[in-house]
Amino acid sequence: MKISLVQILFLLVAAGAAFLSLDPGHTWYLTLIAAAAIILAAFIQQDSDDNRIFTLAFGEIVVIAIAAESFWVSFMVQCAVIGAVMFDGRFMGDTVDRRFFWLYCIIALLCTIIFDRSVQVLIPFLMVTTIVAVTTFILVGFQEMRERRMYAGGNK
Amino acid sequence: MKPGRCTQGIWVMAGLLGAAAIVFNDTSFFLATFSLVLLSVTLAMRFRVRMHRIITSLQVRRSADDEVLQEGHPTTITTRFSCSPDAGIVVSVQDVLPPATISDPTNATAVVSADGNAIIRYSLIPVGKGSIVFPGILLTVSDPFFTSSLVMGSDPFRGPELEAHPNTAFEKSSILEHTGILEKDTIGIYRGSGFRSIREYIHGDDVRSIDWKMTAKYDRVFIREYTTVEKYSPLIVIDLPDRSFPVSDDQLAKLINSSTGEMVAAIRDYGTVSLFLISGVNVIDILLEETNLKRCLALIRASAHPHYRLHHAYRWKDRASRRRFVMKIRAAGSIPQKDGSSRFLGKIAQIYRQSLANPYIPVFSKQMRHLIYSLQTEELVLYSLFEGDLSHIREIARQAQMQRIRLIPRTVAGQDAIKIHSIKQALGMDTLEMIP
Repeated sequence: MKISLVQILFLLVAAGAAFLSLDPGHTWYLTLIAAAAIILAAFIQQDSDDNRIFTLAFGEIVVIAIAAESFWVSFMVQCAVIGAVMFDGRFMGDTVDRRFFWLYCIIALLCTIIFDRSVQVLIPFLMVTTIVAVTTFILVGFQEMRERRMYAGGNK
Repeated sequence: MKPGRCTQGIWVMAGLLGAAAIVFNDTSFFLATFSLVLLSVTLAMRFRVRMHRIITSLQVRRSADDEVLQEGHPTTITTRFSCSPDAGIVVSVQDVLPPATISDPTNATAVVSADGNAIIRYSLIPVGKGSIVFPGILLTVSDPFFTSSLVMGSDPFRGPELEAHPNTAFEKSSILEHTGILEKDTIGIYRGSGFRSIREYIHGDDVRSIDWKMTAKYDRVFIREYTTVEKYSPLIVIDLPDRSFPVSDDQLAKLINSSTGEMVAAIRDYGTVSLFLISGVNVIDILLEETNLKRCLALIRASAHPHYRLHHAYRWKDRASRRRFVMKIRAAGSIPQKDGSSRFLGKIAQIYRQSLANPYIPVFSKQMRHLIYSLQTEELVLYSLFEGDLSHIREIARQAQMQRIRLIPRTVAGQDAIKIHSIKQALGMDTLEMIP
């Protein structure tokens, strides 16, 4: 069984952060189980959809468990889990991978600050999610349409 | 842009966590949900950027072995792609086929290798005449999260333009038959008894051809041009088996080798040979009265390759057989059948009567008739494995019989007795030569 060293490193960071935030009086068992699960997920066949989905699913459970203790640690864990999925076993990926990972981290950090400082989370969450989704939809759709018009050609 | 399994999984997770966040009104759930939404949009944008890089770097070079070809004649197309894909991206390219063409393999697709190059090679057969323009390519890019396709039909991805000429027109040569000698209306070294024209003497003409009577009359030297005497060369028909039948390469090789031998012998003995290459009712190629052995061998190499085997048409009955069947049913009509099949046979007879009223003649019959009428031959050597439907074989045998051409069917040895019997029945002959 071949396991990617990079993915293991990312997951160890996530698991380490999770263990550091253990609180015996709170949801420590959930954190422990989820942290163990994401490490186990790394043993599933590399570069497979199952591997990515398991890593994400258990990673998010760790994020939720830690967020109850420390919002900032949970942000770090979140970035580590997302990095493990995005780089997909390639050490820091290529330029495009790095650029989009940093973009993700910056937007996630801003939104974490917004959620942390908000009295009520639902409205900011809905607003931020809608803005991000609509902006991406417009950008991606525009680019796709432009390419189709440029390269499709016509009947000659 | 289509989401992959991973992206769908992310969306499902985001949905579930979002629902939990609203129910529990818990900030940590909101953070996890937003994290998944943000991840999917980041992945989508990353995918678009990568796809754009591939599209802008893509280069296509397409070439054809023959830019002018005959309708129904295959040509090999080679398409080379080059682009710069990022790691973790799978790029596949497909040549979009021009209309009214068939390709082998059907889907001309290639996956671009890690170095960004791919080559597609396929054979293209135009089924109609006219110009053929390649419309472009279909580019498919996929990463673990998204897949997208783009038809690229702009100028750099189109072309080249091929020209498909119509199938050989069977021109009727003006051949004179006189006391059993075949004479052709051309000048040749073998002098016939008929003469073609009288003209004035040109330096170098054979003095034996001087027409003394005309020379004396006009006081100028006249030459009598005689027609050419020809021998009858055989027509060799090679029938490639239907591509759906599993035929061993050894059998095909034996068939082609034997026909090549016959062709060499015909050129040696008669000076010319006619070659008719078919696959069922599909005419692949034709060479009429060819004197150049190299050209014959080149055609055999190019067109009689097992790669160009086609699917044969469904069986059909010729008009004479249909008429015979109708008469047979009419004769037996008054006798009721025990198994109640008389109604079925009556229905079949009715269909045949209707088709007889229709003057439709299959294209293959027309082509065969034109060929046999236009070509003066006494012998038709048929090479076939006699696999599957034998309607076209029956048609060849019938046309040969009508024109009083001797048919010599040949096949590869090793066929079972029942099959040989059915072949003989289809040909209406008692003999079938075996190639050892």
